Amino acid sequence: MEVRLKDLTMRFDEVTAVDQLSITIEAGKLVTFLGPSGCGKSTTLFLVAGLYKPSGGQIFFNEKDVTAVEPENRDIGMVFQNYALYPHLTVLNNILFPLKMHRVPKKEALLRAQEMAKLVGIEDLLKRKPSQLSGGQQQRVAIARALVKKPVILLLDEPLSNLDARLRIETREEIRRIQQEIGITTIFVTHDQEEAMSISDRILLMKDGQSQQYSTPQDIYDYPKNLFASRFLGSPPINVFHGIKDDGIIKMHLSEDEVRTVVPKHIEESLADYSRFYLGVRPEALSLSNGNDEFHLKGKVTLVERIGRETLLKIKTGGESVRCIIPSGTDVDVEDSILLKINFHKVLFFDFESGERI
Amino acid sequence: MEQKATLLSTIRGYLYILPALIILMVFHVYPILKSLDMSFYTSFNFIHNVVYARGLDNFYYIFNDSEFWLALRNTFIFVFGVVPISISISLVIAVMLNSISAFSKLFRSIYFTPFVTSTVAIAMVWRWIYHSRYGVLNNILTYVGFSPVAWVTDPDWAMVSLIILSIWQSLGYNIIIFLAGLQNINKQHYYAAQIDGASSLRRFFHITIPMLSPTIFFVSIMSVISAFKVFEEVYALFDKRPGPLYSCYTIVYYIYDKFANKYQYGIASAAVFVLLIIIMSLTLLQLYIGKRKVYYT
Repeated sequence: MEVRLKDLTMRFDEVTAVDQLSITIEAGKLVTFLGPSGCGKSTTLFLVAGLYKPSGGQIFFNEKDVTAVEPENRDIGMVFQNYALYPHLTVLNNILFPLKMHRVPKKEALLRAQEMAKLVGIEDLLKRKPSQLSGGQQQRVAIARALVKKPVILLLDEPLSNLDARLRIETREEIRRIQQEIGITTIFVTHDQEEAMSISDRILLMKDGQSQQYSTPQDIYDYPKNLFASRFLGSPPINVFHGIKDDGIIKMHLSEDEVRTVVPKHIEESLADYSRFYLGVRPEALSLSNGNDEFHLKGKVTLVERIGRETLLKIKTGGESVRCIIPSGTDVDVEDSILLKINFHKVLFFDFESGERI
Repeated sequence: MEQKATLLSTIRGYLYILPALIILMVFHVYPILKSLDMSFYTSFNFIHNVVYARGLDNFYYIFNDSEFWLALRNTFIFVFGVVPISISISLVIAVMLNSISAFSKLFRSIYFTPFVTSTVAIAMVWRWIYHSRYGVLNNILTYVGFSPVAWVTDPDWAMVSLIILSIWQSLGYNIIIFLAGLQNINKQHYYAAQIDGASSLRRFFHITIPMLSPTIFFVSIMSVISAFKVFEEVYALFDKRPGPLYSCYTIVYYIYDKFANKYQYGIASAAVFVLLIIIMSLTLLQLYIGKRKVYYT
């Protein structure tokens, strides 16, 4: 079931929560709506569900205009952030509820419910009430309830926010596994970029109700369309520097010193029209230098985070804070002076005014 | 801050609540105990407040008194007439009020007004509405084509009139309580039910009512207790009489009649005792049902 949004707009009084959004979600794919709080991702999800009526634009399910169709009739399954399980019903009755509403005969309904419970892994919890389950178990009941009526699309509104870190990873893998097993078109809303990166077929990055970029996870990471996209994806976040062209020489402007940079020829050419720009350097594009490189950053270590697999450093250089990743065994300490070299093949350049990538 | 209770802090605690405790004891607990004691007075000089004998005679009297049984019968009819209908209508109105956003405060005030108005004043107005010749109700009836009804003077209709008045008066309080309960229901449950395919009527029965069950439980207990104690409405609506031909002769009216008109304090107290037992049993019954049926979140 392909979902297509055409100029979808949602206004609440003075605020435009969703602004002329037009995208197509291909059948069978898991698309994540990603963005900071208030960017309109949950609102868009609710519009697709039919719980909100749009101020403008249309929604199509496989070329059928469903903009005016009530949620009860849209044949969708939805998982809410706080699960919204019916507290007065047992787990089994929770899962049976949508089937009951669609008047599925009792025997068949029971069979389907048990099949679904097995799929999500809760078949021995059927007699319990939601209050007797842990967060992860409640989440799986919610998923089972959403899928039991074999909907055409599955909507998930930040389903993992209320789970602890380890459970979050396990559950998102489960969701991906189930989604691929059934092949259902899925829309997943989250503000966690790592979640989005790990399970999506495509990511829709949103800000202030507008689409910033819609592409595969690796695409958004390697070729972000604008500064916002580059900053949002990637942990630790990208380092951004000012760049200016001074007498034809491209320099990185750090708050105290000005430093000369050496950039590869093809970048020099594309920067020909720009006198001011941003440089985005991901932490993994910085590495320790032994001083023999043509260009290096000199700074003092202010923070060392050893996270096991690698070590993150925060370095103060020229008045700015820079983050980099170095191999975990390296002997570095706070207050050390170090030199960093930049891998210019990985650097991203952004227009100073618009933030668009050059 | 948790501190272990010492003797001194306990005494201080009691001193703090002493004023309220005294008032409660004197004006609530003492009268109840005294009236229960009174129900056993078989020989009592109320002028000099001297008790000569105690026994169960009062109870024998009331159980053999046809008036007592009439009063009980009327009261039960009243309770079963008022409570279910009142709760149902209040619930529906509360649900409707909950779904409108414009003028909600205005409507709430309108519905709550009867509750803060004196029962006597309400009864006076309803006497006029119920007037067989000039009353608004009969005007409407004759306009539509029915024959007029003698609401307040016809013994067959008097109880109905009383029930209508009581339902009308009780709506406000019940609506406000239900509104509070409704607003505590998480909206996401309605969204989930909508997505599961439930129409608004089915959402009402499968989501609203179960999640409102603690509130319904509370309202039901309060309404039953309050309905059993009906007196002011009767007294005011029927001009101090218990309805035409005793058709609205309720148990509290019986009690009032016995002590205020006939000075039979022992008998009145015995009736009070019986009423207490009845109300307590019904409340316990409701609590029992509540344990099984009420879903607390």
